[in-house]
Amino acid sequence: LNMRIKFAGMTFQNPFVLASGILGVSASLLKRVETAGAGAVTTKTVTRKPRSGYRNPVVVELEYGLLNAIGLSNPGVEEFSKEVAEAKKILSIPLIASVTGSSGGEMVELATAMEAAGADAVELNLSCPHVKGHGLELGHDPGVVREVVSAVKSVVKIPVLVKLSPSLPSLVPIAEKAVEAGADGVVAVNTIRAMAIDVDFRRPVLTSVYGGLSGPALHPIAVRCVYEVYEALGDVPIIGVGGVITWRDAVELMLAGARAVGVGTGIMYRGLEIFRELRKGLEAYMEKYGFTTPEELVGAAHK
Amino acid sequence: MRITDVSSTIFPGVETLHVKGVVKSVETLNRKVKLFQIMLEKDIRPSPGQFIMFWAPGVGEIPLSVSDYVEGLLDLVVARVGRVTGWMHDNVKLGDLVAVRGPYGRGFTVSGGGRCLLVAGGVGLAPLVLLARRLSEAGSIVDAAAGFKCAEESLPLDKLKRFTDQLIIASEAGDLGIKGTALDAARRLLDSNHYDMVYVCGREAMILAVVKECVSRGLKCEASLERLMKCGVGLCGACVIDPLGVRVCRDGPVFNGDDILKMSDLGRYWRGPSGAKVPLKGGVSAFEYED
Repeated sequence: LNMRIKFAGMTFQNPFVLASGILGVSASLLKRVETAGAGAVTTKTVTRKPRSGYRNPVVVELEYGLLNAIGLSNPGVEEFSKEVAEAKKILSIPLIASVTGSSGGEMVELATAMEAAGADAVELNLSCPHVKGHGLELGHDPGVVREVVSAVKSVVKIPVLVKLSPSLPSLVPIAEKAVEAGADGVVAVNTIRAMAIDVDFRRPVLTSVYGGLSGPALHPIAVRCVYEVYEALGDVPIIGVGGVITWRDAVELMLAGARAVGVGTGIMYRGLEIFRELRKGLEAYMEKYGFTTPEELVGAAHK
Repeated sequence: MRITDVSSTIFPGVETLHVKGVVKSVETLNRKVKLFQIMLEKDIRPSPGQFIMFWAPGVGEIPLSVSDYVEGLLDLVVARVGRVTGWMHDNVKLGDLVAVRGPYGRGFTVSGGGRCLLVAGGVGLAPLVLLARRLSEAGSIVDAAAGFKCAEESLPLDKLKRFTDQLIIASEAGDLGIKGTALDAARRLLDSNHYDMVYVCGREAMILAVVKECVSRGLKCEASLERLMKCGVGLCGACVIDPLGVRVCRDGPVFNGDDILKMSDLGRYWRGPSGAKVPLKGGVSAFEYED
């Protein structure tokens, strides 16, 4: 079966993409993810200056998912550009560079640097739920999103994707503005703002108090978000992300409208083998129902 | 055509929230090292070489080797090196409630039978105690080489002795056992015995030296490595070692000798909190840089 998909001008060997924030810190690790069977990889989000992130604990496992607030730790754009360039030398699958900043100007600078380092696409992280002045604080304002996306689009040639938050009442107005401003694709969704309190110590578990919830709890929310965006924007390519643990979760997101499927927390549950498991499961599903390409599944639940 | 369904097999090792425990004893082992014994509310069944994340509320959370474990009683051998370990030394006392998550990571291989050698450098002894217990339960004959800087910085070995056949102690100062390093002590045993497996834990430079020695003698070996860790569950990438792209928290902390010799980062770099590489001075282990 041909599992290849076209995405915003790129070709993915299969629809499964390493989601941002997961493992994407070093070229060597991205290569391992490629070897494990991913169709494309997204780097960890890079900022202008190095960021240490929050003090531990930065994650805690819950019954129904994972709560995290790493705090956008990254070595900064200068150091990270070298890692991206190194990754491009050893990878044969597309690399999407995730960036975030506190202004349009910063986003432009970062996107330009990532393009120069060889990234195949740039993902604007407008949806980090727990870092002040970054991400969601830009991404909740349709006007700002429009400005940021147009600014980036006016300087880079590689496809520009926008990562959206499920923490808003609806992400459709944001997605619409992003696409109007020239975004080539949408990534839905980031984690949802959440927290956990330790009942014995009577205090928040995460050092940053708030974090983002991923994993099985996020999945039905992601399905809803992707369905809404597809309903409103039709043929804009979407990477559906949120609680993909099994092939069934992935197929659900595709039927809702996702052309590609992000994998993140699933790696904690299933290990890197998850990429092969997902591919095998999707192949079997396609054979069972006579689909010849994953693209036939995209949005098929919209009647 | 049957569709492979994996939906019911969510990673079985995942524990939720922190497991609580009550401190049953705190013992000063030397000027820098204390032993904390914690009775956990839940049986976490760690295998030797695995680690837990110890949470000091309001202070931080760090990976610590499981030093020993008997029916919920968790032994942590902790050197005072940074903020969290300093807090533990100064604050954790008998009867306190503490929190850990885990166990995490891939530990030592225990195949059973044969003769094995443990090589411990300083507080690197910690994870080898539970290993010695499990090896001896599995019917292996266990020898050990333990090296310390000096007698004052040595650790009690009575527990290890219960599970070992031959034990050679070395000190660099020469005031305890033979004069020399853990590797010198190990060489004495390596020269006169055949080992089916050698297990190593200590500073990075020491690990590299012992692993090279074993590989040159054609012996299988495994060592427990250390890196700054954040998530502990293999997602954030903070502890990745180049060029293999292995995560110490999930693919390790125990690695085999062949892989260790391919790790160009080892003894040279670790990753700081931002993920940027920081030179490792004199092969000192990463935890000494904990902020």
